[in-house]
Amino acid sequence: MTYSYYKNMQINNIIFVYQGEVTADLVSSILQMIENKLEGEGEDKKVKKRVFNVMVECLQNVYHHLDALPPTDPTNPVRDKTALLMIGREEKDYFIITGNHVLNDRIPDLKARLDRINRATKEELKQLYQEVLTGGEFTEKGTAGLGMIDIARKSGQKLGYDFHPVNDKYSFFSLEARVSRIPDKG
Amino acid sequence: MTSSEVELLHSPALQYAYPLYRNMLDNSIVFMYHGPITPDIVVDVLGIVEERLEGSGEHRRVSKKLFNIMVESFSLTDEMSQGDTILMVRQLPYLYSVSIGRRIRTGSVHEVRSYLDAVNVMAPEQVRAEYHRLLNEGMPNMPLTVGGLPAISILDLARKCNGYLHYSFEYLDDEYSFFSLEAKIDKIKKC
Amino acid sequence: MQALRIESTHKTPRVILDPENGIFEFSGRSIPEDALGFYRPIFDWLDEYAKSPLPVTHVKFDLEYFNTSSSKNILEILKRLESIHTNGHEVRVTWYYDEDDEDMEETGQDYQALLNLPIELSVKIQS
Repeated sequence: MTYSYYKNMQINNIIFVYQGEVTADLVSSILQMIENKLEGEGEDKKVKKRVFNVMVECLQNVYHHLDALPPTDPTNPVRDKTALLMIGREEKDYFIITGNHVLNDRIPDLKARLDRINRATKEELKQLYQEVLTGGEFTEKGTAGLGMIDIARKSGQKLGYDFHPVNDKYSFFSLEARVSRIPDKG
Repeated sequence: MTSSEVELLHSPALQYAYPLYRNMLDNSIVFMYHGPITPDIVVDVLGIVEERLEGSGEHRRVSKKLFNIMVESFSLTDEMSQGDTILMVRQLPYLYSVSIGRRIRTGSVHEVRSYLDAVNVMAPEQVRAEYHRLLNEGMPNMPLTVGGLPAISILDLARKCNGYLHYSFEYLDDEYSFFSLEAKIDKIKKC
Repeated sequence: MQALRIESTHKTPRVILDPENGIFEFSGRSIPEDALGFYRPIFDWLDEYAKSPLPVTHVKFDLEYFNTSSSKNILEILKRLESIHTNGHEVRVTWYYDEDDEDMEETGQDYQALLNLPIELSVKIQS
């Protein structure tokens, strides 16, 4: 069993993957590890900072989202308070993928927002951020709305996403942020 | 499945995220680390485990045990071949487990298997005696190895998890095979 | 001779070896990258101390966790202390362990069994 995971992590360039409950302290510990890992890899100072900042945003984003969920419905077969956290390193980029369950009826809205974020230029992203901040077109309770915009801004790259159906109520939403290892990019 | 239109810009890992999540959930895997294991990584991974255990309200005796096993399992990692080690922690209703996976020379498989089989049938007093022997003998910084693995680490793990070490080998090619060792800790103390 | 003081890091222990009052302390974690590099100066210091030790030396071990590579090096330290003790200069070792840490307790017992040195096992007071 271990071998197949080993191989998959190798093929997909995954360094670390966590599944389960996400607490503030856990996020802190993971970030500590990433910080030391970046240090150990001898990455450029700018890159280190950028990667780290995006990681912070991604982890905070999923943490806040999970936190904002209503108490677990006892009939829910899905463990909606748990998440997937994945960090990897390819030749040109670091990537961080977070995954968690979302209600199916949230998907169209999420998708629309993500596509809007991905279509935006740097300037437009900045404006979008202000809009959401002041409760403009994309009114959103809590910090989840700003989170993704922030991730996109800090990473300098488009956000990857995937919605995988689980049952008639829930899907699994994966979000990917990529950060370039090249100092002058992004 | 609805995915972002900018296909070229995400990693294959994105498509793998949900299957991996399900897989980890089904196999009770809490986390996995793949890469070179340095003392710094050890400390950081332990930090993560500590947080996880804190949340689960695990009895201190179990969390200490898990911790100590993790510290020692790192000694089995592949220092020679940077990056070729996987560490896995599982959390099941009645036990925790720590697995280390790495490459070893195919030529060493027999030696390692024989040694593990021998250790696995030893009575606790024998394991302890053998551990003492290895602790006492030889130079502290030139350990006795079995197929490239430090023998004392294997004994230490056997002792810490009360005897049985689960292992497996996967033949890769004539030069290398994949070796994995799993140390299990009962959450409930046996009398 | 001079005291030896090594500050702790997240992977190496704090070491205080004071020849003036004969109080030695090892505390923290021990998973050094280069075990020999870390412990060698301690061995050398102890060898020097052994030439004219105090009538009584108190040694305290208060470790959080360590690997077997460190266990061997700690044994080397204890062997030197044993030597000082059997040569007529008393050495008293206290091995502290967390009440819930069975492995740390057992390691203390291992050292008791392997050496002719008074090693007292003592439960740490939780802070």
